[in-house]
This record gives sequence, C-alpha cells and structure tokens, in this order.
Amino acid sequence: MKSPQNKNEAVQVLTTLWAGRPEVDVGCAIIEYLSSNLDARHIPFSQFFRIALERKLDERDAVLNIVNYLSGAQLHLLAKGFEYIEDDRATEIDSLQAKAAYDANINPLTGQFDDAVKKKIFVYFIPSEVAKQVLGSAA
Amino acid sequence: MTQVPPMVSSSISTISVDELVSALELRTSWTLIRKALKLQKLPVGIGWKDLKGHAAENNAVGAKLRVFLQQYFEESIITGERFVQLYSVEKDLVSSIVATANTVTMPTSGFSKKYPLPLDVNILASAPSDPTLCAVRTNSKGDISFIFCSAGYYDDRNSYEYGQLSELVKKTYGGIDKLITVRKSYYQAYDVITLRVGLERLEISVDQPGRLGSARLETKPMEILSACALHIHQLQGFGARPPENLFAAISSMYSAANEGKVTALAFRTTTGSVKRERMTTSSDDLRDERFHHAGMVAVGQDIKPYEVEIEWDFTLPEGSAELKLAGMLSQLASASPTLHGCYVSAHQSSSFEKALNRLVTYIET
Repeated sequence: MKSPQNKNEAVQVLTTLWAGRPEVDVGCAIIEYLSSNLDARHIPFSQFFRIALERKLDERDAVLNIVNYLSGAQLHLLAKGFEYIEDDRATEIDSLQAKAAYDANINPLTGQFDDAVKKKIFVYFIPSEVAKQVLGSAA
Repeated sequence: MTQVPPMVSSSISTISVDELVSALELRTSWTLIRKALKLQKLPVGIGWKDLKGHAAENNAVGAKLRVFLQQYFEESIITGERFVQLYSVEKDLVSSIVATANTVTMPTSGFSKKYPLPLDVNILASAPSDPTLCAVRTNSKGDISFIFCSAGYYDDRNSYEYGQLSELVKKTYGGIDKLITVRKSYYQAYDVITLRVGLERLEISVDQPGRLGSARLETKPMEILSACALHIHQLQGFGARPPENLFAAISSMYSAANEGKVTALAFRTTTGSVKRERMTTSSDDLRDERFHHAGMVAVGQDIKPYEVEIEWDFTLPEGSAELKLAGMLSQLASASPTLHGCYVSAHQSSSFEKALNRLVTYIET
C-alpha cells in the first residue's frame, strides 16, 4: 500500500483497513485532532478517550485499538513517550527505564527496588515526524 | 575528542567493585550516574544491582566500567547534588590560604580508616556529626578543595493503618487509628570548601542538601567554615562576611535567551497572580514554550521571577549541570532582595565549576 502523502490519504488508508468498525470514526476524530495540534509536546492517553466521548463514541476498545494502530509502522502518526510522576512532579524517562519499572520494579529516579513504581509510570503521545509531514500537507 | 581521564587515587583503585558501587549508591543520584554512563557509551543496566553485575564482569567492558566508576566516585566526593554559597576573596588572602593549606596535617578521626569510602551505616550513628577534615585536594589549576566528612541523618517516615498493626501494638496504644513511625536514616556527608585560586573565589558546598531540613541547611555552611578555620587560621572571622547575593541573577539569567535551558520558573505577574512553570520534556526550553511565550507577550514581558532552574550541556570536556536559584516570594517585596546560596547538580567537577562560573557573570557587584 502506498504511504499517505496528506491528511485525506491517511484517512482513506484508515477507513479502508477498519471498514465497518467503530475504529474508523474514532480514528478520523483523532487524526482531525492531531492535524490541529501538530506542535503538541504532550498528549495524555485520556485525551483520546475525551475526543471519542465528545463525538458520542463510547468505544473504549476502539480507542485502544486505533491508538495502537496510529502508533504502529503503517501510518505512524503518533510517537510514544513515558514519564514518571510523583508528588506533582513529572519527569521524562526513556523506554528502557519504563521497561525496568514494569518488569523489575526498578524506580527510574533512584535505580532501586520500588514495589509501587508501576503506579507512577505513565505513557503519553506526541505527533510523530511523519504526522507533521503528512497532516501538515495540503490535500 | 578524546577526553583525558582524571587521576584516580591509589586508595580508590584498591576498593572492591562491590564496595565501590555500594558507596556510590549511598551518596550519588542514579539519574546523574545513568546520564554519565550513557555519555561514555557504557552499559547502563536497569538499576544499582544490575550496574554492580556489569562492573564485576571479567571482560574489557567490565574493566572499562570499573575505571569509570572509580573516577566517578573520586569526582563525586566534591560534586553531585550540592547547596553552594560563594564568597569573593582578595588576592592576598588567597595566597595566604594557599600557603597555609600546603602545611595542613591531616587529623586522624573516626572517618580516616575508611576514607574515601563512607563508614558502615551501623557505625555512622556514633560517628562525629561535626564536619571533620578528611582530605585536601588540589586540581590541575591549583584550586584547593578541603573535604569534610560528618554523620548526618534524615527522617524516614512510614505509616501503618490500624489493620496492619500487631495485637500487642493495638493493645499498647488503644484507641489509635493509624501509627506513624520515624526512623533515623544515617548517611555520611562529604562537605567541601573550594578555593578557586585564579578566580579569587571561595565556595562552601553542602553535600546532599535534600537530606537536610531547611533549618539544618541554614546553619551547615557556617559549621563547615568554622571546621575549616580550625586548620586555616585566615578563615577565622570570615563568617562575618555575607555570601554573594544571587537574587538579581534569577531574573538576569532567565532574560538571557542563550544562557542554558530554563527548565522551571516561579514568578509574580503584574496582573495579580503567582505562577510556577516546569518543563516536562527534557529537550525544550521554557522560554520558548508556546503557553509561556504567549503569557509573556500578554503582559509585555513584565514578570518578576523569584526562582529559576537552568540546565547546561557543556563541551570540552563534555558534561552537564543543573543550577537552581530558589529565592523567596517575599523577597520580591523587599527593598533589597537577597539570596545567599544556590543548588548545583553535576557529576563532573569541570561542569560543576562551569555552572558556577556562568552564575557569577550575573551577580551584581
């Protein structure tokens, strides 16, 4: 399949692949949101649920599926980041630190065992470089 | 560029990997050492335990890592996370202190036997809590660092719900809903006084300020200075001088667009609010953040900063440092706002000094 060159083509790819499923409406709403926020530096996961609910799309699984798809290799419109949040202080961490926290309960700031660390690790998204190019292009 | 490794003293090179990593874990930040390991392209590992495993490996990478850790520990004795007060010192006094420093005899103390390693935690509770001179170090520029060890502690608090308590505790403390325990956690502080000979500057550097309460942090610099004056008579009475006032640098450094990267700012506006802003993305400068920028435009760039945090990435040699100037909001209302110290975080002595050198260029004299 040819890589999309603009927003319309990205929507078309998504619509064809997920035809007949609620992921189409949720995905199109997220693409619309990304197009208007290409310089966003932090989009929490909850924002995608909010976008779906605003459009009366109460489809939790569809949101999870489509965010996963948009982060994947085919469209790759979303880039993923991780952060550690404690006491109102958010610190950006890399994927190795996030994995160490999930797999071995290692606190990314202290390097020590912390059995409560998983509750302090959060994922967030930013528009990928591909999104800036594709969604920033005129149809 | 090839970086010239700093000298490793013979006493450090004989320390076992296990002791070395344990000593580092006790006194250094994992975030700082992880950053340094990545910079040197050495195996980072997922935590201290993993790092110990990599350092014990019997191969070329393990050997390189061991040398790195020895150098890191040597540097960490005078660097790391610190609260620093600065004094300018007249040239004659500098020369006089240097002459006396060359004649200092190192006293024997409870710390001597294990120095540079910290004492075992169970011994620390009975070790001197007053700063005790343990070493005098001279760098390649002739700057002299007086290193003082002392036993400090911080409160480790835990709370237990009623259901978690043993029957005996429930019976002893009848009617309670929750039990809060406070355990003293002991650590060895490595406080430092550095005389920058060429810069005619004296720095009192308090180790791991985050572990001291605000009251202890206020008195600690004078304790270190008094301990130093026992060996360097020229410093007797030196405490009567006020440290450099750093308050004006808060606003000036924020306003200097190319001065490092601002990661946090607290300020008062003329439109009736106090704001605290902090970047969560490590690569961005708050000065350029869209929300901040729009606010600044809306108020005609007229804000009164009282707290700022700045990060630098240095080259020649490669390194990084963070500086925090934490003034008090109330000082903005004062006729002569004052701030007598700053927080510096850096793992290399070169980066530590560079951050302070950048700060000094903004001090009003």
